[in-house]
This record gives sequence, C-alpha cells and structure tokens, in this order.
Amino acid sequence: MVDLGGRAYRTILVGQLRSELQYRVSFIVFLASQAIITGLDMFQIVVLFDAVDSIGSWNRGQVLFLGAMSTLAFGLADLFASPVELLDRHVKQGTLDNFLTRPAPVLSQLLAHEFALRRGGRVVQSSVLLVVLVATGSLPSGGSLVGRVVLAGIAVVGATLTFSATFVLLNSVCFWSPDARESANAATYGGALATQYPVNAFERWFRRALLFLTPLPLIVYAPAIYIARAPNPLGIPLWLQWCGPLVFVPVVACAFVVWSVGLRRYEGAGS
Amino acid sequence: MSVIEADDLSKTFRVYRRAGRFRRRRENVEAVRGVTLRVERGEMVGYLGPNGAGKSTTIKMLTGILHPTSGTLRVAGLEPRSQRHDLARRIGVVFGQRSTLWWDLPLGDSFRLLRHLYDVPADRHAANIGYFTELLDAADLMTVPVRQLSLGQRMRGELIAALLHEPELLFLDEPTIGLDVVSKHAVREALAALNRDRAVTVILTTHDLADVERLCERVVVIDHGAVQFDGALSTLRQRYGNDRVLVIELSDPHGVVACDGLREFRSEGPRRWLRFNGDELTGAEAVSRVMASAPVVDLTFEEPEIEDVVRRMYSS
Repeated sequence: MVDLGGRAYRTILVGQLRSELQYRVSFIVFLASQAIITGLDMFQIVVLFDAVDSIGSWNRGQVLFLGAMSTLAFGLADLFASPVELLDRHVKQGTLDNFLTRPAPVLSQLLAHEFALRRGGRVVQSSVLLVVLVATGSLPSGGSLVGRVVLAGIAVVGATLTFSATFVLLNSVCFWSPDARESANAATYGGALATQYPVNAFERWFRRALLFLTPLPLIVYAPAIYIARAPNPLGIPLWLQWCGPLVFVPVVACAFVVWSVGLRRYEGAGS
Repeated sequence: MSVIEADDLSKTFRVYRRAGRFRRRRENVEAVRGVTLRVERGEMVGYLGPNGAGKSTTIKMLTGILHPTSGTLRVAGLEPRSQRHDLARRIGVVFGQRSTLWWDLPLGDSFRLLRHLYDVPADRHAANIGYFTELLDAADLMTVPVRQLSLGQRMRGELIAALLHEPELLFLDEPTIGLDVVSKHAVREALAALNRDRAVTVILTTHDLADVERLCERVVVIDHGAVQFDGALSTLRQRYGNDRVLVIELSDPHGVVACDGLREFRSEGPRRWLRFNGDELTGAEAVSRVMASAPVVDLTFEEPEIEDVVRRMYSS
C-alpha cells in the first residue's frame, strides 16, 4: 500500500500549530496584515471601476468575483503548499536527513513541518469578499444555480491543486540547485496575479503567452464565465468552461514525478 | 544473521568545479571506497576517522538517507534504499548537530508527537518514557520548552526521542560534541545501560576518545574512504601506542626540560609540549618528574584526538 503520509502530516501539523500559537501576538499581527495587504488588490479593482464601466467587458461584481475566487485558490495553495519553499534551507542545512530517517514520505513531513496558519490572510480576505458578493446580489442571476455552485467548488479545488502542484514543481529545482528559490517565486506569485483579471484585459501578446505557455486562464477564468454569467468575448466553449479546472491532473502528476526524481537525486548525491 | 551486512560499499559524488568563467569541470569524488563491514546484534562499535574520511557518508548510507553507488547493503535484514520506511521504524538516529525535537514545545509534547509518528501503542510509550527519562535523568525536563534546555539537556532529550520506538539499532553521530562533563557522563552511562539491558546495537562516531574508551570494545577506523583498522580498541592501542601529551609553562622562556620518559616535541615561548607513553607512566608520575626537573608555572594535559591516532597509524 502506498503511504501518502496523511497520518504523519496530521501529527506534525498538530505540533507545528501548537508551536505557532506560542507566539499569539505575532500570529495575529501577521495574519491581519496579510489579509489587509492582499485585500488592497481587491480595493484597487473597486477604485478602477470608478473610472471605467468594465474590464475585459466584465462588470465590477464579475471582476471582483474572479479576483476573489483566484485569491481564495491561491491563498489555500499558499497556506498548504508554499511551505515547500523552505526546501532550499533543508537541503542546504542537511535537515532533510531528519525527514528521511522517519517512516513517512518526505513531502508530507516537510509541508506539515513548515506549515504557518498565519499565512491564511488571503483565504480570510477572499472568503469574506465572496460571501459579500453573493449576499449583496452582485452577480447576475440565470442558469442553473446548482450547476454554478458545483462548478465554483470544482474550480476552487482544481485551481488550488494546480497552484499547489506548481509550488512543489518549481521548488523541486532546489534538489538540483539550492539557490533557485527566487526564480520559483516569480513564477508562482506572478502567475497568481495573472489569474485575478479577465484574460482579455491583457494585451494580445501577453494573453497568447498566458494561454499557450501556461494553463492559467483555464483554471479560473474559464469556469468564472459560467459561474458569474459573464460575457465571453474570447468565445471559450462551454465544455472548456467546465473542464478547464481539470488542468490540475497533468500538473499534479508532473509535480509528483519531478519531486520524486529530485528526491532520488538528493538520496544519490547528498547535500 | 548480522545486523549490518555491508559488502564492498562505495559512494561516489559528482562535484562540479569552476573551470574558466562559464565552464564547469565534472569531477568524481570517491567518498567511500569498498567498505566491507559486519556488525552483530548487541555490539557497540566506535566508527572513527578524521573529518572528510567518509564517516558521515557511510552512516547516511546505513540509515537510508543516501543510496550507495555500488556494493550491497543490508541493515536489520532490510535494504535501506527500497525499504526506507520499514528501516526507519527499526533504527534510531541522533545527529549531534541537528535537532528532531519541536523547538517551541515542551519536551513531553515532542515525545507524544513522535509516538503518533511511529505508531507506538500508548502503554508501551508510557513505559518507555518512564524507563528512558529515569535512565537519562530527564523527568524534570518534560514540561520545559526545548528552546529553554541547555545543550546537554537537549541532547538527552534527543536521545530519548530516538529510543521511544524501541529501535534495535542506534546510530549516533557525535552525540557528546560540545556537552558539559555531567551530560557527557549521563549520555555515556545511558548508552552502556541500554546495550547491557536491552542488547541495543550501537554505532557511534565521535571525536572524543573518552567516549570510545568507555563504550566501545570494537573500533573501525576509516580514512580516505576505506577501512584502515577493524578490531579491539586495546589492539589499536598496542599497535599504535598510547601516547599522551603534557603541556607545561616554564617561569623562564629559555628554560630547558630534560627528564626520563618525556620527550619534548614542540616549544613556543615559555610553553613546552611533552609526549609520554601512558602505559609506562601515569599522569601523576609524569607531572612529578617534570616538576622535579624544571620550574613549572602552569600545566595541562592534551587528550589525544582521533586524528592523532590515525596519523600515527600512517607514520608507523
């Protein structure tokens, strides 16, 4: 039986949470400031709509919804998967060896060991915004309500898994070159920003680059068209609006393979 | 069946060195070359060698952290490469310089978390905590956050943490480095008791010859990646001498020391380094002979390091 390390993950996570809450003030300040600072991105959208009526032919409620959904998914990935960024330190200091002498997968131990609940600011902020948008009726009605809710769930889970796998994939580079963390950051955090706006708001060349080099527009923008009953100027077909989030399958598989190859390299070469 | 069966174990690292502005040259460094080793259940083996000799690389292969480049290896009947998780349940590992404890939590909390990590039944765990905290005199430390422990206290905690899942084989990499005298003693006595009462096999790397003297009947000396000596400590002593060093400071920088059994091999200002054979002369006799022959202001013993022993192996 393959041990995915769920038990080890929960155990180490409990220890990590208890450690983090030893410093309560620091925890609250960090969480609140992250929620506020990343919330400014959304405030910026509100300010923009003071000057314009639409971005990429979407109205204010729809753009905010897209931003909130993207931020929620990225926030969840940032919370659960970004601990992998500390791989470089564990490789350099040789503390990865500790994980290798325990009866559990290294990745699940690392993710739990470096978990920081204070990084949940984005999740708090975007969840609040989503509730407000729905409660104030900022999205047009129409279509199947059940369908819209289900697709929203699929889209958030799919996007979270895609972002998470991207974190793992890019930081696996540290097995080859422990100093490559910053280049990984540019791709993960930069990519998240690109999913917050309707794709056709970007210049044509950038849009092409996004579409063909990365699956980013498919994971949030495509399903948001259906969920937010938004205009579809690029003519993305209905099936793709539903299947876009499935991009996570190849990305997760790819991350798993690269991580495994990287770890095997470490076991062959040491730090 | 031996607990450790290593045959012709080798490890080659690929190292890239700069050659010109952008070019890199690939070099192969053989950290371990053809190590063959048998360790039986209940043995305590001192694994010695100077820095960079291949000590840590061997330990990492035995614990499943690194994969051998060639050779065959069985630890506790398992193949470390493919059966890492199973092996982890049967061995305990303490790296002197790295902690496995939760820095901000009380020691007892770390132990509870480790119980879940290793699936130890609650009653076994409670019994083990009782036994090991008494053995290492750590009962008072259970409620103290690890960050507030002294190095010696923390090391005792690390040792308990490595033992709670009842490993049959214990790997210790420099367990006494930087410890105070009391903690060193506690750690050594605990290891001796474990080996005696529970027949735990212990592999110990150390720079401290006193650790080896107290604990290990068998020593394996490795240098340049190959085993240079494998046998009883007393044999190593007989073969390569039991030299000790007495350092004295004279009242007169130009003073001359000449006495039987002690040979001056270094001088620096008023200081003289004298070598004598520990089998022929006790420390007290050496001191009284020197005191009788010259006006001594201050004196101290330099205990022999593993490096000295290894160096002597080559020079003889």
